[in-house]
Parts: sequence; structure tokens; C-alpha cells
Amino acid sequence: MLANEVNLSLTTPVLRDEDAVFPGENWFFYWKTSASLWKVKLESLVGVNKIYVPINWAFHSDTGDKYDFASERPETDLKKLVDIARACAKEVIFLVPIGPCPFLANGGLPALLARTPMLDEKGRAVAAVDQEGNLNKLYSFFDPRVYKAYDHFVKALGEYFVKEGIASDVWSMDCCQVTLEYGLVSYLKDHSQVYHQGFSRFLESKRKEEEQNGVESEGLSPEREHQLEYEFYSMIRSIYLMASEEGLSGNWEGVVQVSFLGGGQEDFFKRIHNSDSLVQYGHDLLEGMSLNAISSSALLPGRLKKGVMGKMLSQLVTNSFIEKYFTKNSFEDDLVSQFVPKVFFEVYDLGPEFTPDTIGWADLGLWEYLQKYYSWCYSDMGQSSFRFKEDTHEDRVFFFHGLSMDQALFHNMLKAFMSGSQVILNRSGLAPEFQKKLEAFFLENELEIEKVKLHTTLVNTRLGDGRLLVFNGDDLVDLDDKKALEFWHRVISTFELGHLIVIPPEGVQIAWKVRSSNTQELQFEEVRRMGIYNPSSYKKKVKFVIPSHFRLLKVLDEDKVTFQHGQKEIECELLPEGSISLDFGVLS
Amino acid sequence: MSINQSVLVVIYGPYISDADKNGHEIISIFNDRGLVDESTLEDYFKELTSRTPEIVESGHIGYFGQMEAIQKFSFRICQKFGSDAVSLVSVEDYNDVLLDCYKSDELLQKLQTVGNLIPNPDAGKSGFFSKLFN
Repeated sequence: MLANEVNLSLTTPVLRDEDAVFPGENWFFYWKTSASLWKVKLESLVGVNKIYVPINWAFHSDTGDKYDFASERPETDLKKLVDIARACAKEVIFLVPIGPCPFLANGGLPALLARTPMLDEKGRAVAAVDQEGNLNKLYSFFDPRVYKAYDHFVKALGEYFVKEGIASDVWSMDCCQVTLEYGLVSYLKDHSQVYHQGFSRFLESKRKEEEQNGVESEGLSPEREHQLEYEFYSMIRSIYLMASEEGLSGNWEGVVQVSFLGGGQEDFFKRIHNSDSLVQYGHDLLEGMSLNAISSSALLPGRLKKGVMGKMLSQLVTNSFIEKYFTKNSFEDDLVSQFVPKVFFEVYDLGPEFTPDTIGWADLGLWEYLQKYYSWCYSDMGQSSFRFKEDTHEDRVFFFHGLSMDQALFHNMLKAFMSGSQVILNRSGLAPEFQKKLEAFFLENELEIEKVKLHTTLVNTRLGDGRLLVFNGDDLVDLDDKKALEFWHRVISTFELGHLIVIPPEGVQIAWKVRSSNTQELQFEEVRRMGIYNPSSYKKKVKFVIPSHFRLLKVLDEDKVTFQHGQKEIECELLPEGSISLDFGVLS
Repeated sequence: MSINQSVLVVIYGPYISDADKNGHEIISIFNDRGLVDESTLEDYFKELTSRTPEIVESGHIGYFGQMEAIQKFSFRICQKFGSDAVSLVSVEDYNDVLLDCYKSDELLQKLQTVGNLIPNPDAGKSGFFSKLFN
């Protein structure tokens, strides 16, 4: 490229080709550039050994019933893409959407299938602003015609992979947005006319099923309707997921949730005015990670990813979370001693089948506490089922909710406790059957019970390294925010987790990563990296005392920051968009 | 009115939180800084109606029995932010406009033309100098 061309692209708001083709986190949009340039483009990605390639359904099919895999346009030649990537020493991981994609026109649906606009629960049509300022309107996947066409497409894609001998891994991709009220929400969720028609048919079939089984219909209470809506949604989601799994069975690895920064409906009204909030994106990135979703910056323009946001994405997502996520099923995991997100808590919450007014961990102020005091070092497992395994992280504290308790969870929870894990159980909503079983378990094992009153009765017992703390969450519902934070702080501090608690000023985010110590660091149990990021437009100061079991090993990635440290104290002054990383050796 | 001018956009629709109640709610109220925050909405709602809103979250508030109440409330928020005008758009019109647009600035422009635009005669009077001399 000529020098004057570079200058032009710097002074005009034209999207750089690299931003369009590589929208971040090593994603590659093959349809955005000529196939003849793929090699040059991929070679330019230095130090990258995996690229993530979302499949653009509409690019391979205008009509939804005929497909182009290298038959007409060379840019649809996925085999060629895989071969070029291999020649550039890169592995391709394909992401096949199971719902609307906010970074594609019509949400990725072929034009002829984009018939029913997707609506949110307030009746608004749903759209996302992409990095070029385009409005990508999303269309309903609840339309039976869409499902039929999708099924045909993934089958054709699978056949093409087999025919061409493409061995790359394929993951089903559930595109999501971070919302203020409900956390991570899939773009598949819809309230359009076709959704309601489908739900009515579902209700009718349920009613007939009940009639056939001799169950008398009691009418539809709001709680029951909510449960059935969730059941219906889950059924449709599983239909798409199964189609992608079956169609691509030879390559299929699993399902991944991807959280699109700037893709929330709250963000939409800011982004149409070009008023992006880096503070919000920094928060959403960490929230997405705590919800086990991969964050993607594909919707954000390149200019926003140059400063602190780029550092957060690179340090926390691209070179840590994603690496960990896509290697968890492979042997590489044991060999890699790179930094991965630090997790102290694994929290199992109520599923979406519970009505929003059911008291979950959010209502008890737990998330606020963990975000503030433990800098997002938790994993929100949602309604996932917990199965205790030998390799279950024993250093984590597990949270369970009485309302979600069933025989399997009860069994696994006690197994974890007896194997040395630390468990916190909110017995609110716990069925009498399990209350009795728990009491019997204490008696049979002659466990010593301690009872402490702190807004609720905390029942604590230990067995070897294992610890089980039971309380009634209903007693905490009326606590104000400050008291709830105090409650959790007093409870969690009894677990002796050895964390360096730093409460950052508003707008600043702190993230922790961890790796095992190497041969020169054997005096340490592990090495933890603290990243401090200031996405706000104000100067911020972060000051803290180093605990006696922490040793500062290294200061790195200093950008727009003044760093000072004494024997026991560290002080960082971060300018707007400033950031710094600190490595600590942790003594056992 | 050009898109350079600050317009408060209000998208309203039928009140859906309670099927037994006929009326309206504001689904989205936003300006160039994004959705209007929950506490501002709640404070102005209480001031105007002397009651607590049935639903309130960032950019979303109700219940309003009559359209006039939405107009009055929106205009009050418009005055608070010193916006040049308020554009009241029904959710059906919003959806039609959105599906018709391909770029953000096109959407903003159309939301002003399709809506019921009420200019704020006091716009610009609440700037730094007016505060200094009043």
C-alpha cells in the first residue's frame, strides 16, 4: 500500500479492510475479501495459530434452497480457505450459527427467508449497528420455513465437508447480547408474530397431550405460561442445535455462546448516535466471561479497539479466555501453562424457567459483591447441571440453590463436600425431602454443626477439607445493598481464599488471570496476573496494600499510567484509557 | 430539523404489563447519550403524576392512561435535557422506519420526520450563560 493511501485511510472515516476482514479476536470474515487475497491476509496475522470463521449462510445461498460451495464464487470455497490457513500454519475453527447473527445483514438469513422481523418483548423490531454503521435487522428463526431451509443448509454443508475432506472443528454458535436485566440473552429469543403462532400451536398440543393422559386442564397461570414459554423456546433452540450437530457430525465439537459487545438493545440507541460507551463494553466483556461466553468485538469499529478496549480484548479474550475455551476438550490443555481467567466461585443459579420474580442470587446481592470484591473471578453457571468429577476444581467455592435441587444435584453436592470441596447452599425453596436428607446426613456422619446468626442462621459443618454452609436466602431479601455486601463479605472471608481484594474506583475494571509456577518460581503456588483497565475518560487512582503471601514479580503492559510501589503498597494513577498488568507470585 | 440538532425520541406503545388495563407506556426514550436513565424517568413521573410508576427501567416507563400524559411527560424530559424538540413515535411506526433504513443516521433522520415533533421553545436557553445570569 502506498504511503498516501495510508494517510487517506487515517484521515477519513472509511473502514479499514483489515477491520472488516478481521473484526477482532482472530475472527476471519471470508466473504469480506477476495479469495485471491486470503493467503496475503492470513499471512499478515503473525503469531496466531487459530482463526475463527463464522459460516455466512446467506453468502452460500440467495434463495435458501440452492447452495454455492465453490461452484460459482471462489469466496465460497471453504476447502481452499482451510488449505491456505494450513499453509500459513493456522488451524481453522468454523462457527455455525444456530440463530440470528447481529454482524450480518438480515441476521444472516438468505434474503428470501427474511420475512418476519424479530421483535423484543416490548414489540420493538430488533436490529444491531455493525462496525460500518449499517443497521442489521434481525428476522425470526421461529418461522418453520427458516428451520426447514436451515436443516437443508447444514446437511449440504456437512456433505460438502465430507466430500472435500475438511477436518476442521465445527462449533454451533449461539449469538447473544448482554442485557441490563437478564444478563446474557440469545438473539434467538423472539416475540414476533410467528413466535406467538408457534407458541399457540405448542400450547394446543400440550393441552391435547394432557387430555389424552386424563389430566384436567386448570387454565394457564402466569407461572405455568412462563414455564411453557421457556420449554417452547428450549425446544426450538434444540431443534437448530441438533440440526447443526447432525448435519456436521463428523466435525462437530460443541456449542459456544458468543456475546457481542455493543449488540444489546440498550447499546443500540447509543450506537445510532455514535455514542459508544467503553466503560459499558469493559463491563459487558467481563460479564460475558463470567457467564462462560466468548466476547466478540465484531460490531465495534476499529477506532474503539485501539486503546484500552483493544488491550482488554487481547489480554483477556483472545489470548486467554478463547484459547482456554477451545482447548478444553483437547490434550493441549495440560501442556499449556499460559494465563487463564482466575475463578474462585462456581455459582449455580435458577434456570429461566423460573419466573423473574423468583428470588435468585442476584436478589441477594451476590453478583454485586463478587464483581466488586472479587473482580469478576466467578463463573455463573446459570441452570447448568453440576456433576462432581475427580478433576472438579477443589479450590473453588460452589453455590447451589434449594429451588434447583433434585436427586442428582443433591447427591453430587454431598459427594463434592465429602471430597473436600467448599459448598454454600441457599436452602430457600429446598423440598422437605432434601431438608430431611440433609439433617440425616449430618447425623449419620456425626458432623459437628456450628450455628451463627447473621441476618439469617448460618449452619456450618466441615469434613476434612470440605465445608458446607447452609443458610436461608429468604431472610436476606429485605437487606439493603450495603448490608447485603457486608453479609457476603463476612461470609466469604471465612473461606480463606487468599485473594488480593482491590475495590476499583467507578469505571475502572480489574481482571485476574492465573498460571502455574514454572521451574524458576517453585517457591510460589501459582502466579496471578492482575490487569487494571481504565476505559473511562477520567483520571483514576488505584491504591492497595500487598498481602504478606503475595510477591510482586513483574510490571508489564504499562500504558498511560504512573506506577509507584513501596514495600507493602502499590499506587497506580491511570489516565483515560490507561492500563497496566502486575504479576504476583502467590505463596501457599 | 437537521440531525445535528438534539432531539429526544420517544417510542410508545400499548401498555402490555397488565392485560386488564387500557393505556400506554413509553418503550424507549433516548437522546444522543442513549436511553434516559431510570432515576430521571422515575423522578419526573412522580413529579407529574404524584404516583409511583408501575414499570420503570432505563428508557422504559409507564403506565400512562392517555396520550396527553405521554406528551406532557416527554416534553418535561425534553426541557430537562434542553433538547431542541421531542419526537413521539408509535412502536408500529418505529418498526416500519427501522425496517426501511440501512444506516444509523438515516434512521435518526426518519424518526424525526415520522413522529409527532414538538419543538422546545426554551431550547438553548438552559446553557452555561443562561445559568450564569439567571
